[in-house]
Amino acid sequence: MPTGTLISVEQYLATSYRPDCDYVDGRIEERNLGELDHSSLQTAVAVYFGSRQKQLGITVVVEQRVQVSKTRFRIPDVCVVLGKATEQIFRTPPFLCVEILSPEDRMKRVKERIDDYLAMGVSYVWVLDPSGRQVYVATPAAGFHEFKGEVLRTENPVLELPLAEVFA
Amino acid sequence: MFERYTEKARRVIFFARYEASEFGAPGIETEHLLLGLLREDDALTQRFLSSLSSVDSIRQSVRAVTPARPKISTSVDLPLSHESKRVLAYAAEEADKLKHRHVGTEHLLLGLLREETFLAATLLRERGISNKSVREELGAPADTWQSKLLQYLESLPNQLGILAAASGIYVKPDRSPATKAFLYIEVLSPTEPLWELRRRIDEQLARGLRYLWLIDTGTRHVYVATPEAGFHEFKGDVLRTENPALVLPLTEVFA
Repeated sequence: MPTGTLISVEQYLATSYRPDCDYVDGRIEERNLGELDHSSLQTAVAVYFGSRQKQLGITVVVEQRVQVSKTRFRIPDVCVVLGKATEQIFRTPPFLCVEILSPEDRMKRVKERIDDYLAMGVSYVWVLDPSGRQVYVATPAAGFHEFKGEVLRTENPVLELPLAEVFA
Repeated sequence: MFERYTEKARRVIFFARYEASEFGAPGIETEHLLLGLLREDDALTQRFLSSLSSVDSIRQSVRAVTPARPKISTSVDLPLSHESKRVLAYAAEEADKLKHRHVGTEHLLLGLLREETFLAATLLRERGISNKSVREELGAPADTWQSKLLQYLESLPNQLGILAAASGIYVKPDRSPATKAFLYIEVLSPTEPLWELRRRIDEQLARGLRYLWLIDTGTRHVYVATPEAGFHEFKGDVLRTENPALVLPLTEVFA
């Protein structure tokens, strides 16, 4: 992929972007966000899991920098870790990453992000599209696929997200 | 001339005209087309320039080399310079090469890069963007994979009906004009938003298509959509349909 000006990991980590950006092999990549559909769905997912943190023994964060490889940082819209999170920048794979699609998102870019998470060791990636109410799931075993049910679910531990709760 | 232009590409021309008038230029130069492109297409800008600061720096560079002139009213008709006309001709050529019916912002970018000695191409090159890098990002030319695939499909012993369309290949169970395609093989468009792609796939399946194979010639990912299993990544080595049976080893798709 072509590049603009390349910057180092150190420069990226020392810089605050508003909104925060991904860092991919030296390039700063802006994320598609900021519109109501995106924000409300992101909030709904975060609130659903956030209000159950104690009960489920999980930590839920939004817009968290995750170092997915030596030269790549991604910022999932919502991120779930098992137990308590201690790292300021996640370098241990989160259990679940949730991405909310924006109208500008292309398959290729979405797939690249998903593959970054899976390669890092993330167990589940859920991709929610507010515009068409489509849902996709990616796991290391099954790859990326459309989800047609009503309740998204992980195994070991079981976390469930009834889609009717978030697609208001 | 602009019939094949997408809405976004048309707006690029509109903004280029606006940029030229802001700079008080007597005509629309390649740098104005570039500024118009950057103004109109955030997504393309993000893909290739990766940060908006680069957009500002391009604007500053144009300002630095342009003589200060009073603004011209936007009601004055500004002609396209010869170089800009060539850029538009190149853009159409690039769209043809990629077998795209439309002329979009991505083709305009390729067109700008081909007018090598002029300001727009120089500014882009300084930021690490070349014709080669853009083409790589947009995927291999569609005609390469398409002609290879057509050859393979036509070599199969069963009498399938094979129809090459602008961006893909329809396969019918026989050659009768009355039968409908059961399979559509297409190359993943680098510019089509995912939600649009999904809507299009769902519409095709709703109209009776039974298999859709989507091929990303750049990353070599393959996706499959069927009415039963929906849209998903394909992880095997051989794509198959049933009734009629068709077998497509991915080695036939990716050289």
